[in-house]
Amino acid sequence: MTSTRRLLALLVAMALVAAACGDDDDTADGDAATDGEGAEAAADCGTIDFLQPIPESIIFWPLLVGNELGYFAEEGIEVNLLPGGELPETAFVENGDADIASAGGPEVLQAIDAGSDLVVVYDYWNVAAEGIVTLAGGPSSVEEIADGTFGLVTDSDLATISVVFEELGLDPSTANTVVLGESPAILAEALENGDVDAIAGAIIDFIGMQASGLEIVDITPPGFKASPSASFIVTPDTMANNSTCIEGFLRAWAKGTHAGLHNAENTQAIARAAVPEEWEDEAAGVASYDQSVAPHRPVGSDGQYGVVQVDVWQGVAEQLVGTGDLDTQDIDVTAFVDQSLIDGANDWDRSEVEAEIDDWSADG
Amino acid sequence: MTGAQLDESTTVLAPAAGSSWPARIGLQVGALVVVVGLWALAADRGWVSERILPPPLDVWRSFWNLLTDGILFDHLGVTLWEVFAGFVLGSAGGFLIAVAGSLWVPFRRVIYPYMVALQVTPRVAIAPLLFIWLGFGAFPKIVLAATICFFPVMINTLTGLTIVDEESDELFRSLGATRRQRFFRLALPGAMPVIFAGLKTAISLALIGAIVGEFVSAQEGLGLLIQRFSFQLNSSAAYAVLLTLTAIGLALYGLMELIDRWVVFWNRDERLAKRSERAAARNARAKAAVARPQRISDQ
Repeated sequence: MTSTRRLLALLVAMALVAAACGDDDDTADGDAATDGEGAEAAADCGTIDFLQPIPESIIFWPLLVGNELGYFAEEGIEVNLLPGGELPETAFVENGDADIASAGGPEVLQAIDAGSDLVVVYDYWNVAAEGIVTLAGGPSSVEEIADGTFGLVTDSDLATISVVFEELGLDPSTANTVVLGESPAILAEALENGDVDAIAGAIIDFIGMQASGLEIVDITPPGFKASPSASFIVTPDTMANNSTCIEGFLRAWAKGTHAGLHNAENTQAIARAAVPEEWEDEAAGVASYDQSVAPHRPVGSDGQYGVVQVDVWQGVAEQLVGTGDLDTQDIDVTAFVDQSLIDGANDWDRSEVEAEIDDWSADG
Repeated sequence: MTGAQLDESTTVLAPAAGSSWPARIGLQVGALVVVVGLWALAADRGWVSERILPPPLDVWRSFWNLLTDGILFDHLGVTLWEVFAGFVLGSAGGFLIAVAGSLWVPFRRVIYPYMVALQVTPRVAIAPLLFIWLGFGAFPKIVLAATICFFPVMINTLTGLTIVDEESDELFRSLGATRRQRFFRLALPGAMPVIFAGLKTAISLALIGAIVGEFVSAQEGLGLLIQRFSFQLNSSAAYAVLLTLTAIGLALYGLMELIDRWVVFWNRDERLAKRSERAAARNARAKAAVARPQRISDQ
């Protein structure tokens, strides 16, 4: 009888914990951003579910700085960050889990090609996150090592090599490549030991190598670097019903971007407090900031943040059609780009933001 | 994994007859010292790059920093919650389905192929889908952990409940025991050692499930910490978190072992002997208490 009682007690305990875990879903349900009710007043925006590829990080400092300096709060927005990782960002915008998401140009184009109904409202990284790096003091261009071996972080980086080779007038089928995997330790070893002449990957793959003291240089041709590697996407419904809140989000993001570009020291201090584990190795934290400065710079001549470069998008679409990654032969990017929020997103005083980040101190 | 296999492995891992526990502990600690020594030597002599295998002292320093900064604890709590909730959900589900399957053969025949199908489907592959179906936060990671630890409990429970000693069963039947009595007094106690073998496997798998989920998408957790440190090539910190995970895995296994010893006491002679001694002492005290008033009344 005693053992039966014990077993029953164990089962009851299991059932209680199982019931408790059913309530655990930390996704915020504010959803003012999708129900349309908060469209008229920014103060009513409530929670905006924002999906970005990585968790809070200095690499995407506008969110950290915008939160710390109160830019999102000024817009009546509380950002609920959803870390996307390797998940398809476009799918989460479509299914309503995310109100707004950050996605790379090729992913957006492929989703549109597959029939997704999405709108690109803001480009915040106008420089390709992908690139080709080699050891400092070594070859200075891809042409020099065209016969050499290119290490790939993943097999998808073969596309980078193909596009770069085509752009340089080389035959992509002659490229000698080897997939090395995502471990920065192995990437660094392969480059340093001469197993590969260069590595094709993304910024995040290069941060570790740089932080470990390995001196690397970017030899990606300039033509390839112009690419929408991180854009904000929403659904047409969100644009129709809640553009005011989305504009507020973009304005707060733009102000955070500007503040981060203006004052590196305070931006790093904000990130250090918000994401201490990223600064466990100080050099890695600094390298992460350094690598992400160039992509954050505005590309327009008038210094406007977030401008969607339609011609660059069109070029990427044509490249993807050429490589067979898009079925639609005559994709028209103007059909899913909406720049109507860009002016509003840039409607703030630069000097005021600069003063705010300069005056910020860790002690409050 | 079946009960029979587990019994065999238990026999293999059992200490040799006559070996004392200090000698056993000494051997285990000695083996650890040799491994760490070789590791330190390999790092010191440059046999392996420090980027790939940092020196043990660096790993210790990183561990200490993570501990004193509080970073490790912040993330540890998140991972442990996912592990425990996933374990409870998965093992409770596995247990209940197995009980239903053992009592109702048609149900078992219908459900069994699907359970096997779930087991052979790589959970790493369905992890991103779980996030699409269930959204973000801890819940998809808990479900992932639950789906991974579900099967060993289900299969071990089913095996334990369906392999009942025929002679004992015959005895119960001849004494007119009801079906309920045969389940609770014969089948379930007989199955408990095998069920606990499944639970011990499941708790380790729950940890793997939670970490895989954190690799896919997480804002907090030890899996995320490993990813962050790996991408930054902060190898010593990544190893520190990895070894922490190993320690957690061992601790969880040890916890299940303790619960096993406590619940399935009849499976260990020394525990059974102690309980028998306690029961005999209780009986003796009860007899003495009854005899005392009698003697008083005799006077």
